[in-house]
Amino acid sequence: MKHVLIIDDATTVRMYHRQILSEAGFAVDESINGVEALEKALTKRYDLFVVDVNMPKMDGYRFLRELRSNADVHQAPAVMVSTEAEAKDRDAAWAAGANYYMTKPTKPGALTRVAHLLTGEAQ
Amino acid sequence: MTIRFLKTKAVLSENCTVEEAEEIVQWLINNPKAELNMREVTHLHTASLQAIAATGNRISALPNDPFCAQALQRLGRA
Amino acid sequence: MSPLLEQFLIEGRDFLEQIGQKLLSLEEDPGNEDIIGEIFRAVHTLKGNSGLFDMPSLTSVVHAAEDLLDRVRDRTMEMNPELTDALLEAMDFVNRLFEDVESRGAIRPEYSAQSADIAVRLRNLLPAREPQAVGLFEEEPSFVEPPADWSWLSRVPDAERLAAYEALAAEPSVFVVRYRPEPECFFKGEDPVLLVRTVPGILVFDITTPEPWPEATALDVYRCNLQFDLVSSASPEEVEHHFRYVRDQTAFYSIPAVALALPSGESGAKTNAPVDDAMIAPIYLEQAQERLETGDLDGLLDLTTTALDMINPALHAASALRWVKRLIEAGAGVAPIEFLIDALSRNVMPDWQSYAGPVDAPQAVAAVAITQAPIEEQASTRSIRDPESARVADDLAKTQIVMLQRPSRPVELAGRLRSVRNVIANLLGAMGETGAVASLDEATHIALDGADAAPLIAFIDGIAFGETAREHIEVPALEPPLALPEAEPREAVLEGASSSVAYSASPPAPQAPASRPAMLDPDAVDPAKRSGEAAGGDRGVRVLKVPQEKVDRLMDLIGEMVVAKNALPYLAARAEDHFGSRDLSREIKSQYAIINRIAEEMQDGIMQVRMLPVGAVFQRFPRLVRDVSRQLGKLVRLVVEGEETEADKNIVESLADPMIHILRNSLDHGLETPEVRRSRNKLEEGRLTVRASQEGDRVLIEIEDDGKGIDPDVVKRKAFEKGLIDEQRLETMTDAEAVQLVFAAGFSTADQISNLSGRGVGMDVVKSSLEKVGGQVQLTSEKGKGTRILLSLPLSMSVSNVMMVHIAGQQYGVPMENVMETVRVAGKDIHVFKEQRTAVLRGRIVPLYDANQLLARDSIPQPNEDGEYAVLVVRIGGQTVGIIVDGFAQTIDVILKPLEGPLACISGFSGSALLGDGSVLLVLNLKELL
Repeated sequence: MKHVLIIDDATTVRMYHRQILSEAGFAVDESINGVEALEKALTKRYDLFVVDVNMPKMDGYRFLRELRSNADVHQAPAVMVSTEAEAKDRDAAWAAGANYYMTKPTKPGALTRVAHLLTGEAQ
Repeated sequence: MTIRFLKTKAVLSENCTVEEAEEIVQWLINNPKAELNMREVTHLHTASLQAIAATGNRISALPNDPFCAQALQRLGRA
Repeated sequence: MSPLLEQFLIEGRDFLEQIGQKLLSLEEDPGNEDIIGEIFRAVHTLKGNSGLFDMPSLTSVVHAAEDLLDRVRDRTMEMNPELTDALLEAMDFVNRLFEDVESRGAIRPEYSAQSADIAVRLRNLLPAREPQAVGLFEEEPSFVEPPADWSWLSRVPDAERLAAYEALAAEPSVFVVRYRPEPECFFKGEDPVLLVRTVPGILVFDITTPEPWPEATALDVYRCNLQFDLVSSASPEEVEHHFRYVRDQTAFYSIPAVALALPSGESGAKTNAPVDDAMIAPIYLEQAQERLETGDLDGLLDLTTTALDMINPALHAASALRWVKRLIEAGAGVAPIEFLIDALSRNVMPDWQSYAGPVDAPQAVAAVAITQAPIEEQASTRSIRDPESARVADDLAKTQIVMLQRPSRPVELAGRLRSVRNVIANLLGAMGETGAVASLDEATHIALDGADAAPLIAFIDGIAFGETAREHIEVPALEPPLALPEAEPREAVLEGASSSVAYSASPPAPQAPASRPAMLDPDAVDPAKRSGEAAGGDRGVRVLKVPQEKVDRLMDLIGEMVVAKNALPYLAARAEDHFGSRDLSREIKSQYAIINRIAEEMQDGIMQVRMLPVGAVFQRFPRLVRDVSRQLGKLVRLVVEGEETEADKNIVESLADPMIHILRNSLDHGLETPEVRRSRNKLEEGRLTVRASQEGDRVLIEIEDDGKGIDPDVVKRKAFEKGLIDEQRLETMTDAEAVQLVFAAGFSTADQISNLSGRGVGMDVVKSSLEKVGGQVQLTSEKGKGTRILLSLPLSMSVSNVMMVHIAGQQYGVPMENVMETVRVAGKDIHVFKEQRTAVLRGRIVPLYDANQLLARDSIPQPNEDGEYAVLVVRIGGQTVGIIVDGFAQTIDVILKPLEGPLACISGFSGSALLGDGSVLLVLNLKELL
């Protein structure tokens, strides 16, 4: 089973993404901010990160930067999810090293598809 | 922010606010030989920056934050 | 109401409360950025959450509020009472919408006009942008004059100016601000340093003190005595807008970009540099002027580079040469370079203010050709079958290129390259192009070695992910527009109306009981909700959102109390035996009975708080079954029963993954296609039943299908082929035993992995993950008829009864459910047979294990004075074994907690428990140990 870490401060969004991804056959863990997510990523190998942008303590951009600078972490693909759809927000995600960008609310089919492709689980 | 006043130095970190300027100045006046460690400072409120600029205490570590470090350098404190 | 919608309301109300409170504290403490940030985040998250549902009237109001707060946050707008009022009003409105969603399941259409109204009112508060700023510019005179000269720039270190000039690329001029904050500005909540550091496009800045500092003791820290000068690459409009509230304290002007070119550094005279160094200048200047006359900038560049190599880089002359070089490279043109060299030859600072020469049109800087690593381009002909997936795969691959082309901090580069490598490797895997992974790894390797993404980009560029195989004609399943149809309020209201008599009986319910019908909703089984019913109130549902840690802390304390109260019977015995007071003893005993009852009720109470209906997990199954069966072309009817059965939160949560796996197995391997079913005289539509119930202190979950069942012969043969059973077992095994082989580790392997159920995880993982929380799995299957899996889990994982034993001088706990009896066996009665110790107990030969060995301790078992060993007889997996320990102690109730952190990976322990005296007891997992 592939492991996904959902990083979002909104409980509702985490629940929503968890439903979609567990139905798609993933084992799902959750973190409420970047700090917690980094700690998790250091102790467990994840196959995919689904990262929110705006979070307290450590936001999504900073999390990605910290993640990518850490040689001890498995560098799994990271999808950034955000309510913003503007080019500058996408740009910010690329600049932070995100591997993909999706706008919220994510479509279940689209998220499942991307998650499967990014973890090599595509049909 | 957090200021830790130790015996021979003060360690400033994070955001130094306007409220803390007075406290910093008083401590620096009372401990003219003490050093300032500012490595973890992320922002200096103008009043705090002034306080540090106007007193002569040695800065043992400049802020990692480039803007703060440059500001201190311009005021002859680095 | 779906759990998701319920969660949205709980979290949403939380945010509304926070926003309301924080808006008020912001009035007390205006300009507090932390508070502004928190309010913004709450509104932002609320907006994001509302987007998951179809609630336009809610989303639009929250969105407008978010836009306003965004402006407050970036300081282009200030918080004022009017704004606070508007925001509070908007949040009240949102609260009313929440009530509608809760009581009616949907937002009344009447609200949409009101929503539009509020959104417009909020947006009207937004300051108009540029036009007003320009107006402001003309109306308000400034008290600050631009400086007479631009010499302040020379106070900025050379390196910073060089970097700034480089960042400007070919911009001919830059915008400059002089900002002299009024001395009293701090009392207005202003922070000039913050305003300066947030100037858009700020390149370099300087700070000076208009008045000399007084003696430190006479310093007034609340009087601003600083002046700022800064250069920005942003447009004048943007920069003026940024300073619009302190317009009267600023002066703006433009300067040519070349004005940054001010040589600095030590003059030769001050250093001990040899005279020769200083002499280079005249020769250089002479030759430079010659080159300039002929317009030979390339020659000048060579000359300058050579000259630079020969002098001390700290010297003023070196700084000057670096600037010459930089101007040539940036394509600044002949004129400014001539101006600079002229100033150098006269040994003065270039006075760029008097430089009237034209700023040459920017010349394109020759792009540095990227040398591509010699990697064979892989124009793939294979592809991903589903056209939409192929399109997404192509997009994913392109995105990696876009991302890699962004500048990256060196420390992040390796991580980025590796993540891209993983993305591409997985995409190749999805295409069935695993052969190309070797080349991918090579490209990644070269990129990592050279700290340059180019080779990897070139590799990705060479692969065609988007090519769709033509022969593929399957029509992809249509994606429903909304993720969770059951979460859509309108549907929910229909359900509610049909199922709730109370609701339809009193249609225009008055305010107070308006929310009551929701309480009668059979789905409203959250215990916290039920207990809130009595409290009533406008909200209808009063749910306390408590962090889990707090509940855990209560659990811990109660656990300690349960242990501590056990000291009382002992005390009563002592009162009688030691102090001879029967009365006191009786009194203690009766007090103990009371405390015991309260403690038990407390325990029960806290457990209730943690109880959740298993429906929270079942919720996802209809969609799962629907999607999977469609994908497989099967007809399946899902029947769910007993979803209101409650169990501890941890138990319910631990059910999700195993159950999904079992359901997938049934759908994939169990249930047949309609054609096959017809041929076997079964209904075309298969039946999948999920049934939850409570039995004593356990919750039972039954998953049953009427599919083809498990063929014991096939399973046996497979297990034999995989070496899981030997030939003898193969022959003697009953059918019932054979089907249990699916739980054997290593049974599920590649050849039976389909894209659905078998993601490389077998039933063994399902079994072990359930066992971790004290669950058991039973499987019965009849070939041709179907399979039934029964999960039995504890209702709560909170209290366990354990027996304490001594091993190698330490105490350990053994779960009482394992313990059959404790016996003492004389040393001579222990026989060693093929290194296996055994003893005859109650007429049976029982294998004995040394606990020291199981725990890898160096000690050996300690017999008592009579030479007898303490043996704990336990039953593990249907087998009776004896464990030799050093001694037994009492049995106690403990709150068992799973091992956490680094300990979590240690096997052999099912958890730890805190004892009454504060020490920690490790509880053994005998199954793992043996």
